[in-house]
Amino acid sequence: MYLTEVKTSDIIGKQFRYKFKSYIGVFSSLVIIQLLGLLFSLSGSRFSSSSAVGYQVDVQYYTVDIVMIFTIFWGFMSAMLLTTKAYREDDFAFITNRFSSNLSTIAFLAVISLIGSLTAVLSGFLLKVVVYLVESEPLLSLNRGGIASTYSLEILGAFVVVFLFATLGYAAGMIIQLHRLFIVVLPAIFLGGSVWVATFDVPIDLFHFYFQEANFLLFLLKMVGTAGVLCAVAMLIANRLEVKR
Amino acid sequence: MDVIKCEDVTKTYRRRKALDQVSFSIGENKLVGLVGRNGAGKTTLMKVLAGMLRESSGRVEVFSRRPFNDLTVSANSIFIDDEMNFPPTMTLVELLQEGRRFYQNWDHELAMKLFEYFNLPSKARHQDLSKGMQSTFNMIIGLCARCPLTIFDEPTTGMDSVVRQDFYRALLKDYLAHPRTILVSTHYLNEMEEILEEVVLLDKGQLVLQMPIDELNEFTIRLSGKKDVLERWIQGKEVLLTKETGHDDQSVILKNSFSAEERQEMKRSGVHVSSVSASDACIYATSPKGGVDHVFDRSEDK
Amino acid sequence: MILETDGIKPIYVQISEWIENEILNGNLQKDEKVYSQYKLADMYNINPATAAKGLTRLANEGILYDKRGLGKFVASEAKAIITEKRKNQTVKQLLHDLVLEAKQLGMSEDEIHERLKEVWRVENGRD
Repeated sequence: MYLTEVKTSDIIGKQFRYKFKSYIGVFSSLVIIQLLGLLFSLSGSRFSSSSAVGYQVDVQYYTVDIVMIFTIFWGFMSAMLLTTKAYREDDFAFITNRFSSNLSTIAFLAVISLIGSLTAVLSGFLLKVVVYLVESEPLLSLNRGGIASTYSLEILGAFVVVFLFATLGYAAGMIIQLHRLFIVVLPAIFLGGSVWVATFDVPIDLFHFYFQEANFLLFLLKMVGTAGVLCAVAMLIANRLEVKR
Repeated sequence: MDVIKCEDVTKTYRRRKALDQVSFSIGENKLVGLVGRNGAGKTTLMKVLAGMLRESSGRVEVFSRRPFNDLTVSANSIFIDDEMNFPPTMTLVELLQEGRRFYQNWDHELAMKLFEYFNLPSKARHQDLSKGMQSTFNMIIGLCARCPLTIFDEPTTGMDSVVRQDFYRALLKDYLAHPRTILVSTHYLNEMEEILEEVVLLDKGQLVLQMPIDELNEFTIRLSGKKDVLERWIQGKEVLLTKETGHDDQSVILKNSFSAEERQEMKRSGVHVSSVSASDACIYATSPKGGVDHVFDRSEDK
Repeated sequence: MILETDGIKPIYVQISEWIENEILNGNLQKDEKVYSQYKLADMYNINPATAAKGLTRLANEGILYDKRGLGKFVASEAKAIITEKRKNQTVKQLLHDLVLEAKQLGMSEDEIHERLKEVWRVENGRD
């Protein structure tokens, strides 16, 4: 009997393409959520005013922080969605095993995280244009020289954060697939943990550890490293999951 | 070489045993029917063979490999059932193109011809189709993938009888042109027994029998005649079903262990001997003693 | 031929009997190649293994012979074997059934003889 020999990398590539077509819906939700974020950003995020005798200076800050936060949330939710039965078993119609299926999904998450952060950062330009058209007051650009490298660093930074949350969503989704009870247990652990940290002044400051790292390289390393661990957790779980259809 | 080999395969869901120590094997290039009543374990067995479910104990081998999580098994086998999960974002034709990208032996020309023959709407999406149309589409994927092991679980769900006949014909034709191992579960054994080589019968998670279809056709026999005459012949034999057919007449179904001479002798003594079809034989071999009539008998006594 | 699928007679027996008929009525000459199991399977919509069983049955009875790699062919003595077999099996069985039925109806041996002669005359007169 002649058996077809397949290369795992080859199948992962095919699955990646297949997933791009089949999960195309994540992009429409990205557009919606980022436009929504932009809408919120239009009112300006910070406001400061100072006055002296005879005149007053009102400074309104416009940033795409809200778009960024929405994009992170979108990454988390999209990843979680992919672990649900309707999506997770899509590739079992064709050639797959759990390893290739997971790797192609993670690759897909990485790519959509990159696209999401790219559009989030670029939405800053859109915001400026809109504000320019809407506001009658003069616009000042702050500490953004418009240098390409600044933007690429910003995109890279945004990407690792969005990807981290995507893998977090993926791992959490997989844990929930393991047992329904985790839908309740996971948020409970998270909330309980935060309350515990806050009330007892436990010296674990995750926020500080991840997001206030001054060294950019170290920041990248922490992000990517954590994402890797989360992916490994998700894959370990997925390896045990049966296909129920 | 055996394409499928199971030894004492058990699959437990929580506490229920869906498969209970099933042992059997299927040789290369056979077209085999898997039959049994609802809940007999057919789907579970097929999913274990396709590597979707993991056996709880025992040994499962497909192409001499354990199918769960095996990429080679996945590349060389396809499992088609009526719950195929296709993304709602792709049209039927796009799905066929995906099949072509994934499966090395895929016959795209045949796929498109069948697609046209069955009048499937090319722009439609899988979930827009009726149940029967979905089954037809799934069947096309299953056939055209040309996998060395092709598994169909109730492929004719929702199909009308014309399409069913077309499917059986298409399956046989493609099998003749490209021999491969095909396992089909069906509730319509009488409709497709002619194209099968073997039948595997499951009941309550256990293997009841596995035999060539023409042996199964002669496996059980129906005797009818006067009770006292029949008594002599059925004494000490395992009777599968007894039916009163008149004041003093009886019809019984039992395993056919009679020689040609004995059957001649029976005819002489006034017993009517008739054959039992393979699908009826499967029904009698797996239905509760006395059939549903028995339930009504008891309630009448009370 | 149309296959009887009511299970009275196994499919492979029907296949072999059909080939026998083809030989008897001269559609298949001696040393002519008979249909392959795949051709038969396609013609009658049956599993090729069933068709093969029908062919093997004929080969075992000496009606067909094998040419390695080429298929099965009609043996020179095929017609004689079939005729002899049918006399001994088919006709014998029919006669058995006839006598059984006659006995049930209380017919005498002479009556059967008479009726048989009558049918014989009618059938021969037709030719």
